[in-house]
Amino acid sequence: MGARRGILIALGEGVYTVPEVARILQPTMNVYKVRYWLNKGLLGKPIRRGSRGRPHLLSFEQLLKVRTIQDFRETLKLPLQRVTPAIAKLSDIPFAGKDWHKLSFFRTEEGRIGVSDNGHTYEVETEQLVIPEAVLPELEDIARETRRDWARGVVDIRKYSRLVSNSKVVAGSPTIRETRLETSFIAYVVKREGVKRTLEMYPYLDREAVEQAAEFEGVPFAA
Amino acid sequence: MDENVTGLNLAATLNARIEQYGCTFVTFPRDAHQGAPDEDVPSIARAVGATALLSINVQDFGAKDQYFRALVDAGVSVVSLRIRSSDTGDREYITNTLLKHVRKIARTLNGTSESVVISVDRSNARSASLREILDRELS
Repeated sequence: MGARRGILIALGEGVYTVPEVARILQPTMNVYKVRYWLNKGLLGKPIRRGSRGRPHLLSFEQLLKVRTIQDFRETLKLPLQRVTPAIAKLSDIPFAGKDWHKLSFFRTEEGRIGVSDNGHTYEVETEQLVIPEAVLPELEDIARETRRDWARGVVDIRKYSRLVSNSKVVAGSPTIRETRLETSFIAYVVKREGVKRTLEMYPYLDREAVEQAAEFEGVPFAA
Repeated sequence: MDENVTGLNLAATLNARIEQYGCTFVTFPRDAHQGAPDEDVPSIARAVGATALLSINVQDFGAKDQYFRALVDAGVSVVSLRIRSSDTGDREYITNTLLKHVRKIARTLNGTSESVVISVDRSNARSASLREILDRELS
């Protein structure tokens, strides 16, 4: 091919626009938050920084970072400015190859976040050694979920048990689990043909999967 | 034809109308293709003798375009029919749009030695090689 100057991902690599990240992580995520965090540098460098007519393109790792940051924020119930430095480091931990099961989180005396990492206990923001105060098992749960999803390359779409974003299938486009059927396309068929006809066209799908795809895409359907 | 397209049963309809263009539509075997990872798509295409993958796309073209580039890089051409929200788009619309451009699609696929992306919409069918796409991106 000669020298390539543009962007080229590998087959099996997930790639996401900002609206797609927001759609996958609905209902708590929106495009404004993702763009803000991207511009603040919390997500690292995108696959492609957008310009007029060309959307930002994010990686599967960045999709997981957005979800992890959001989950940390909701759990800590603190304003973004206060937790941003800690979140930036915390969100990197699952991707740093650490033995995640050995990490535990806690709140320090000053109300910041601490981590116990294989016998070393320090405050995340300053990396100063501290004495643990209140343990935060919720943070451990979030981090465990992130690490699991990173390893399998799949994000389950919450509230929609039949839908996933699998980074290895249609580059992470939301699909019905264990198929390559995109939710956007099935919703489109439902909109044009109705649920019953869609089930006739794709007989290996069941009603729940089709209805979840339509609902996820905001397409109304008759019961 | 990608898994999305299989339910529309387009192959028979299209093949009945395009025989003279030297181009045949085939449906990927479901047992091999259903839920298959992207990395398997080139080998599935080769197994059925397909030079191009037909895909119908409803939204978020930006991310999907990257997937198509990766397929082209792996040696599989892509025919991407884009349906916009303003299109009336039912099965008949999809069939008619493809039929409208099928001669150009067939000519392009038969006339090139490298893999290409052919973007099809109601009014046009444009083809580009990977090099052209990547160069255009930075122009």
